[in-house]
Amino acid sequence: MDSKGQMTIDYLISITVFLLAVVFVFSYTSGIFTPFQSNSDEVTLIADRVSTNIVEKRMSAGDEGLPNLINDTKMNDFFTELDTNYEPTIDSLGMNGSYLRYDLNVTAENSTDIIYAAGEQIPPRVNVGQTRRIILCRDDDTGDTDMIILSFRVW
Amino acid sequence: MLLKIEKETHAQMHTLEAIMASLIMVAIIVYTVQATSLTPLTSSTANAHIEAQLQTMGQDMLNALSYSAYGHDPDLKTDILNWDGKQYVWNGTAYSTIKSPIYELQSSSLARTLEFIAVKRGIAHNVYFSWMDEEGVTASRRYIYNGDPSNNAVVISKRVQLSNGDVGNVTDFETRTGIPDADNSTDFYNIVNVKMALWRM
Repeated sequence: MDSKGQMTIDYLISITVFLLAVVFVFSYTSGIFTPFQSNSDEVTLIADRVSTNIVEKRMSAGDEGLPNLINDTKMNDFFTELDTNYEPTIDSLGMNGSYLRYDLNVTAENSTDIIYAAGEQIPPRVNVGQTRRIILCRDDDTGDTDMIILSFRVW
Repeated sequence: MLLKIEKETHAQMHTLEAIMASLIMVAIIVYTVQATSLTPLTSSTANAHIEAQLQTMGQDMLNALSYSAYGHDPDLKTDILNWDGKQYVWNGTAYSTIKSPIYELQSSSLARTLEFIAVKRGIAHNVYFSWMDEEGVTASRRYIYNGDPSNNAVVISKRVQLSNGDVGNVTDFETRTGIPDADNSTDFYNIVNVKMALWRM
């Protein structure tokens, strides 16, 4: 009969391995499914960049102190261009690289209705990055201003 | 032997097994608690984009309101000058005071903008006015208040300069709003810092 109180070295090794395995499983299971989750990090960044480009450069009324003051003729032109010449507009916004290509949808909404919408339709089950900009649209002839929400969606 | 101690030879092993079992149990509890306590309002890196988006929207709103059409006063300045010093809350249909007699916030472009943008999208919002008096002590009062902001609220601010000419009746304005004349000797009245806190509900 084995009357020694000490454990065997085999048992100690196996317990160490087992405890390490337990710690490993608990520290990694929380992040193990992250790559399969919906993830819009990169498209969100692109949406941010594209919205800044469009609002503060293409449509801008050129007021340094007010980057979100835009010219309504320029806004109209942009939506017409995106609607009729979709591919060249996407290219000019730098959304078409050698390996990846992104699509864009832009809508403009005032206090009552959607006034402009252009770009592709958003397909189901894609990661969409969205950025909203609140702009002040100035009519060139009358000088009247209207507050408009522009939504940029990229996927 | 009555207790038969020498028959049980694996005392250490049982202890280690107990430690193992309790370690697994504790780890499971910690894991579940951490996994379930992530609510949409928990401040984390996951909602960094939401905060960035609120920041952009708030900055855009304040920028738009500080546009002076036809060289008139910007809307933001007019709102401060028209302020009666009361605190307003969104009651579902309009911005009004809580205590009776109930007043509704009239002709405020700040309120109109927030109603158009923030209320429709479920973005909770507070607006504070803060200023410095002659001694350099900062004071702050609520203009629109909808409760304490959550951990992931963002604050956007815009400074508005007031001159004696803008204010008109200086003593009346000070008793109404509490914003004092920071410099009595010149036409400069005060600088009001409009702070807007936005957060997701």
